[in-house]
Amino acid sequence: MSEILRRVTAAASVTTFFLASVTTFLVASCGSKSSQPTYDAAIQEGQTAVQELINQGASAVAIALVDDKRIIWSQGFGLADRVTGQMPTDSTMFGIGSVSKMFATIAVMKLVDRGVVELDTPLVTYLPAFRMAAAGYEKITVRMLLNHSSGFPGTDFRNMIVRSPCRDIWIRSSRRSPCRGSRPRRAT
Amino acid sequence: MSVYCNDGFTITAALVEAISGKSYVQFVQDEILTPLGMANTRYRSAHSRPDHTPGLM
Repeated sequence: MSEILRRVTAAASVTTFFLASVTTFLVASCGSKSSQPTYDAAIQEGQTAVQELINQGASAVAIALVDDKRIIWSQGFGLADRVTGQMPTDSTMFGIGSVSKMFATIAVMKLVDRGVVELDTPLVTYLPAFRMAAAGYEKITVRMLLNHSSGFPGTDFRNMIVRSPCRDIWIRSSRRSPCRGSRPRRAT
Repeated sequence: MSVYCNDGFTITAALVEAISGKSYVQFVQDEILTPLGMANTRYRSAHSRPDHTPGLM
């Protein structure tokens, strides 16, 4: 449990660097129903971790301790709205940043389960319009997109936070038409 | 070799749209969020309830 909390805390700390707000989900792997799980220590550790985040400048933190499908503990800290002084609640929405990669992956895997997408099939099979200047792009498979091995340049924080998903982003880029809501390019 | 890259996931949105025929947001809503009862999760571009601070996914 302590290890889980430490990992989550580390992840959340990194997230605070980029986002004004942070949401954290803790998963307790106290699966056995025969042994009575004790949550007090985990909650105490969670509260300490949150306080650390707030001290580091996080605006708002919502935290939940989940055991299987049951929410054991949830609490909001800091301010969800500095103007009104509103605190975050268990239903306050946060920008979840790269956690959205899990949703993208699940969406693709739904299609894989249905047999309409194969992970090791090249992307151009499904998206004939996909083109890159560099040779070899036609060998990029769906799996490579999901496990960061496509050979695309690493993320440099350009377009890191967008307000809506970008459709046909590579086509828009080639037409020099910026995706709405994307952040301007920054020198690195 | 792996290099942390957001673009791969951005492109999966286009893949999902091309195969499913739905917008990516609609697909995630219909196939993941609604079945799981995740009523407090949505894309910022989607309709948001007035009692919620708009979020970003």
